[in-house]
Amino acid sequence: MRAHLVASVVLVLVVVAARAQQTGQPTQPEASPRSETGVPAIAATRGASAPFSASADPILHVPVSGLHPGDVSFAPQIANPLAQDPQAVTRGMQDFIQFNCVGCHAPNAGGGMGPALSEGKFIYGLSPPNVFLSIYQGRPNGMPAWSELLPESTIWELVAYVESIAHPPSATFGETISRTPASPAVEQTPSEFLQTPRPWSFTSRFSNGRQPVGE
Amino acid sequence: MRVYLLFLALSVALASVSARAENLASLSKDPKQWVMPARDYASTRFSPLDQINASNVGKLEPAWMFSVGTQHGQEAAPLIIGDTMYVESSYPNKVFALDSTRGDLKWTYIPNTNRAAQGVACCDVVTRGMAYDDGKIFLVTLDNHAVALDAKTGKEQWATKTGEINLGETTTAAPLVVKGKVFVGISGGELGVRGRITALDENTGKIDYVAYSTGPDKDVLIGADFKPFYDFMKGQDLGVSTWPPDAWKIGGGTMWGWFSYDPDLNLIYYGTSNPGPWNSNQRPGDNLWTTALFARDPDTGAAHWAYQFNPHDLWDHDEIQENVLVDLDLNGKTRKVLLHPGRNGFMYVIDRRTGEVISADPYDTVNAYKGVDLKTGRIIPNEELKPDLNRNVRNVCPASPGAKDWQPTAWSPRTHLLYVPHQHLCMNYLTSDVGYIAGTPYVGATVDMFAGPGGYRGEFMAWDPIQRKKVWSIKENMPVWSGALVTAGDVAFYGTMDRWFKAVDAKSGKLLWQFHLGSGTIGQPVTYEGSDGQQYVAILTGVGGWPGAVANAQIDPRVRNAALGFVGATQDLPSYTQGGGELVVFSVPKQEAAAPSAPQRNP
Amino acid sequence: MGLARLTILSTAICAAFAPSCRAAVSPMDYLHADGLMAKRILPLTQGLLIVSAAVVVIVTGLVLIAVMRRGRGGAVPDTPLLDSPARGWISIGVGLSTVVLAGLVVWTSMTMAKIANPPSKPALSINVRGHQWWWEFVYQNDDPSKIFTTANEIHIPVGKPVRFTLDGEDVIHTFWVPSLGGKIQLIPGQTNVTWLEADRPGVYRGQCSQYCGQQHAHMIFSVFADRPEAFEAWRANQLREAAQPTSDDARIGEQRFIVRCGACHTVRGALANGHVGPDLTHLMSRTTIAGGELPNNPGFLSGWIANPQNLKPGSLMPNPELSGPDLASIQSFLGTLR
Repeated sequence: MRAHLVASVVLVLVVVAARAQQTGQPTQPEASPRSETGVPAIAATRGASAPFSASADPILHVPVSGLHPGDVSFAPQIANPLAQDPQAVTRGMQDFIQFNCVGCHAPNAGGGMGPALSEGKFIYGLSPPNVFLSIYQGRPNGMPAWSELLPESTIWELVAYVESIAHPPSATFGETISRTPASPAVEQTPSEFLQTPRPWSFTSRFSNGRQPVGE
Repeated sequence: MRVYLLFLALSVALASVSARAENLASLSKDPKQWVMPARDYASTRFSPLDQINASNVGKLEPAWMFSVGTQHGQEAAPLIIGDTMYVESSYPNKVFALDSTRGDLKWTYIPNTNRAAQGVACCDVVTRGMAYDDGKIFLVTLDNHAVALDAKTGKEQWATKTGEINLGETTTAAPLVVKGKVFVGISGGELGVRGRITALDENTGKIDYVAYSTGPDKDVLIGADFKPFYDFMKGQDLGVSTWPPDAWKIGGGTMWGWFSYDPDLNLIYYGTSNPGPWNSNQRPGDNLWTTALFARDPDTGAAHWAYQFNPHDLWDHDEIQENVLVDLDLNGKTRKVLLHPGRNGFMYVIDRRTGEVISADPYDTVNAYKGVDLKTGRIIPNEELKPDLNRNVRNVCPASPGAKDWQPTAWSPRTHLLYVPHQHLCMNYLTSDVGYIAGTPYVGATVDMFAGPGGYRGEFMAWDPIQRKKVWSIKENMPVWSGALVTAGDVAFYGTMDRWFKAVDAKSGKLLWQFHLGSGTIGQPVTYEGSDGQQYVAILTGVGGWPGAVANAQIDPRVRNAALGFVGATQDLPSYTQGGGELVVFSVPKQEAAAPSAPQRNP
Repeated sequence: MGLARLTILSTAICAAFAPSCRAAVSPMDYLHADGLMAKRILPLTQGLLIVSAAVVVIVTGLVLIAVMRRGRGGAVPDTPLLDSPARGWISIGVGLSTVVLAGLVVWTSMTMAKIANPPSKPALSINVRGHQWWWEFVYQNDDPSKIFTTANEIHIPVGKPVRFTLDGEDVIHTFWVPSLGGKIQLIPGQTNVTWLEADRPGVYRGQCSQYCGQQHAHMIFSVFADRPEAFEAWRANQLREAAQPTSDDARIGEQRFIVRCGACHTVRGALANGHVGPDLTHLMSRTTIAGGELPNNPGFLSGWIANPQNLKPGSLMPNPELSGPDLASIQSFLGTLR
């Protein structure tokens, strides 16, 4: 009985000492891989001797520009790790709503404060890693940087969703806009009637600003 | 001796302040100039010039043009001080000083506006104009800088930051200078911004005071002078107690519209925006002081009275619209009133001394409300159209932009009519739960707008506030999103989103002249006299704003809910116009052959 | 060894007689009622149990008799069933069953009528929102500045009826506090209403009782019935916003929390107002975390935050990929949310 008592007291002391060790040291923002400003620190960990290198992560090799000097494409083929997950698109739609993407990009990504993603026109590249980086890093003309707020798995879910709802208005090289003949000729069933991860499966005649036709 | 000197200094200071105020107020009476966006402190937008009149306006033609070099929505009113015209563009808010007669460019000011601000501007990257006082031009940039420029040289005098884009704040309202203070607003009712107005000293740019629209009385500057007319606004700290805990901190009530000023009563008037979020189920309570009209002492900001148009707003019916100060003959007495075209579809006549609502009548299709109870002062919502959480309410009129949005009206003291450019839209509205992430939208509603009954989407009409009815109206295909102008020549001007600039007879509404502009217009027409004695009419073209961004930006017309639901109503706009950015100045050519203007000489 | 046996024995005796002990030992026990609604249902429960038991006994007995009679060698008669002596048995059986069932229908309807409405005007109204796999509770009030939100743990005043409005946010869940009342569903698109009243102070366990996905079994909530002063004190605390953190560690933790957690969680007083996960403004006032699954202590809290998928796989909280120092400072901050 006495042995048990002594053992538990020692255990408690050890635990307390360990916690004191942990909380006693103030956290140094510069030493953390994710500093307060969200920029990865150079010399990432205390005692690390490896210098900082941009090429360390393959995703940083993905170009945003369409110009490759030397006229040889060097974009690495990085696939969406959730490409085989059939639920990723649905979860991405829920993320799109919950993290306020709908506020700037509208339901089904029709655009508003931010550009439409439903037309399949991506200013900063349409490959999965391009879309990933646009969300992760933000973009200068008003796209916030989400790297610190969202885990990577959530961002890949959004990539899966955004890529699946893109539907170019025209199969030809360019797009014609006219009233007669009607071009565009169809519109989506609006989201107040139907929320779906496959909005382009439900379309109706273009209504030119009048009450929606389809339900 | 010391006392005498002090007294002397004080009276000089006071005299200069009041002289300044008189200066701006008296300048605003000069028919040749246009010294503030609303033309005068009463916001009449009425010009005493009559050289252009109903008989000759049919001959109006372009005199000169100027490109502002940006192609988003151009909403700003040009200012004409002396012989110089000042024009401000959409983001990045460039300011140009031009010779008002010949259009020669005098100077350009390019602010270093943060490009990331474009991502937190709800309704296109617009600005509604500048202010002028005492040799200085005042502008606000999209990224919340209030800037003073020397009006002659364009040199920057000071620049003060009044908001933070990472909290979702931008600034788009035109400032106004009253008694040496520059009043600026803040935008972001769709991003959970805590609304307020800021008064800065016009000489130093230092912030004198801030008057919030939500929160405790000490922040809203409600004190002993506050005497609201109706009981539901009497009480302590109503800006806290009419909200769930802490919701007022992200509650909206921004000010992105218009200031008016009555020098005799010494009160400034302005209205506040919708509460945040649009999903009303997350903020039970009256949500004071959103969608409310404030009358404040400009010297201290102390509120004298307030009137909340839409307690517990359900539909994003902001009330930042202009308040036109007129003295009307009602029931045999002359009363000092203000005319407020409500976004909720009611035309209000309010006593501007006390805040009493004298009349409130629908001026467009309204089914969201049953009327305004003049005894209690409260609007009566239509209970059948309640946007319960996750319930799609259909066919609500007026739609969220209201029966009329920010686009300002004009008042003619000759015809005693208010000229109202506005839209005619209804909507489907579905609320959903939304979380707040600073710097991102805080809306919680899926909206889909469309043309109202009758199939037309806009109207320009003349309203008689004493008879309380529409006198004549012109229906338009698109929402009429430009401001109105009316002159002593009995001509009223307005522009359409499908590129027409029109002049109509102020008495009858008969179309007298129209011109096909380069782009749709959502600007504010102004008129002035050049150094050659000619009368000119100027307007900025460049479609955009909330209804028009579908034509100047990458927005998908096939997705009706885009642009907070406005695409549902203007999805065919790209088939009428693209964006643009050009100032066009019109005049009636002189009888004698006019000598062609000499090209600008190089010094 | 003797100590262990003594512990088990005393617990069993305690559980048999003292309700608070019983609640701790068998929280899902619905054969004892601690609330008014449960008290009204209990006779019906016991009655149905007795009837069912009797039916089992009688039918088994009859089957055995029939089996043993056949064994005695009598040939099965060739006559149609309804002409044979079996008719008597069938009539008795059908008649008795009908009478008993009809009686039970009447009794059930009477019980349902008795529990439909609370005995007096509810002292409190709580809106329950069922999420996969946690409970959101919004305390209603006519004064909007007294409305507040909490999660997974509620306090109610003892001896007073409390009204619950029930909303399903994603799939159908069921609200059940076995010792206080019956089950009622949270159905998306429909608001159901129920009430509960606790007779004595204590903690009562509630559990989701409608299969709602992978972690259905770990969607637990606690109902604390408090005496009036304790309840008012708890409520006043919940209305307060989070106090400003005072230590450097907690301040850094607050900044990290806003960025790493604020998109999903709300802490009133900090700039974090996410609506995806539970409101954490007074996290430390709660006895459990993770939808009632884990005790609220530093060890489990850091384990949960560091790797929620490990403790509750399939839960909608993703692995936040936090570094050690980040996690420590966030926990420092969370520790201030009393």
